[in-house]
Amino acid sequence: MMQLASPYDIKTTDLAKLEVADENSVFEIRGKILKLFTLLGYDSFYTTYISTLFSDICREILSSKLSAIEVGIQASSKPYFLTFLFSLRPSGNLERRIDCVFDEVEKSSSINNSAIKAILNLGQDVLSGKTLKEMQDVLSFKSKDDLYYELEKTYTQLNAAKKMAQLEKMSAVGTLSAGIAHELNNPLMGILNFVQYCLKHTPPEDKRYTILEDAKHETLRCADLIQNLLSFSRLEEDGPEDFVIEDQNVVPIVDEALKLLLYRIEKEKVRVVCDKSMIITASVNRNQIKQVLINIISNALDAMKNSRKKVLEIKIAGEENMVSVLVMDTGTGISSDFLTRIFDPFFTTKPVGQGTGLGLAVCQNIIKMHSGEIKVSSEKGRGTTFELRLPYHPE
Amino acid sequence: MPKKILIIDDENSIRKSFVLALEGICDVETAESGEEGIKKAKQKFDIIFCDLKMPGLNGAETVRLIRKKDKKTPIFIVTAFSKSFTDELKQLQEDKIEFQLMSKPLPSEQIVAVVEGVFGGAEW
Repeated sequence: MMQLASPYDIKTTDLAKLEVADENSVFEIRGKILKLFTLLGYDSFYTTYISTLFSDICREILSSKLSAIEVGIQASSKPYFLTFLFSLRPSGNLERRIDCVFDEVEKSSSINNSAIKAILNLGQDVLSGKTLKEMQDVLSFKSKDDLYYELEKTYTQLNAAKKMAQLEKMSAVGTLSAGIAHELNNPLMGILNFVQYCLKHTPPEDKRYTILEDAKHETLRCADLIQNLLSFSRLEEDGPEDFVIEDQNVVPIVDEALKLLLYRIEKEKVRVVCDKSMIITASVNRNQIKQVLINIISNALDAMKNSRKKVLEIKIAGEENMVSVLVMDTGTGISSDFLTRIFDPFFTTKPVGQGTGLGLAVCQNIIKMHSGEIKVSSEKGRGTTFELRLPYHPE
Repeated sequence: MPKKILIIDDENSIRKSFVLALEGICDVETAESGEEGIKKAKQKFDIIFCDLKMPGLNGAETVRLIRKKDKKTPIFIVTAFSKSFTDELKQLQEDKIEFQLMSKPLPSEQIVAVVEGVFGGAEW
């Protein structure tokens, strides 16, 4: 395997020189790509920004925890780099050329000008038409600082707009679901009890008995859904005054959640890796965090149902003013298309009847109320990792 | 003498649920509103179940008025925990008016369990 590129080598490239180049020259186009790649560096902020520009495939690069530049030069990650370039400009016959470039990169003993040259040579082929225009808009700033500033501003605006839209959506769903759930509760209790009455007065050998059992089962499913809706909307409605947060050890909360799911864990032969010997304090509402953990862990169990390797690993770590809880599974993983949507209310990939699509929306709300964060990363076929970041504010 | 319970709920399906679940266990009297419930509660009951969200007198007000004369009968407020009533429920608790909460929807076995529990002398 070839040596990994150091980002610093690339950053030493003389940007000033590129700026004096003729506007229309191919050299400049190459320079701009290089500049972009340089900006990407190892800094996640810029890789994130670029990913918003360059579509979903980039997200895969991000989720694999490699920056684009790393992926680009690391020969072992060739497929990633190929997809990345194809996402810039889908064109079938690029592949052979990119192969040549990689050969060239591989020949070089370390990251040096030839590697950079290789990337530059691709530029001409990769960039054209609209994509080039977008790049030029981004890159037509006087200095690097200007560009950084603009990137940061745009990124912040994008994020704020996204958050706003999400908040509005959540609050609309909250109000709507609370109304519906309350209205449904009464007739549902009626149906449930009517069915139970008929069951009680039907002999088990009667062929209607099992049908009534089915009716009861389905009614209970509705009741479950309503409970979910109500707990979802209750979180929306309840202000912080109903919400008690205490400094406490997080480890026993994780343990309780695991115990509640022990039956499933054992039945499905899942190996659990979790160090329960530590004491790690966070400022949380015990029941709510337990609810979040149960939800995430049972999702993990669902995801591993058909996996050959079934390992659930939970890592709890204290940082300054923060506690991080990682829940990792070896399940089916979540495709990048879905990753951004999994916290949306009513979004579910489970078969009809097996998920309401509210679980993670509730989780996110709970964590939001803690002023914490919930993050997810996933690799299709390898597994998913949820990270809860919970605050710790000792009084 | 058979035990008697009172159900106060504006919804027919809820009243009927209790009647069916408790068939053969005790006598069930029903009231369609808080006002009617208060009138009926002048008789002696062993348990009272009361809805929270009703037109006219709501559950909290109804329980408050019943408790003025009757301090003893166990009262269960059956609710889906609507946010709009939590303040009133808190106020009831602060005023030391005794009641228990039950969450809708109640399946029949839970109705039976609560009633038999009270009849069996369980503390609520």
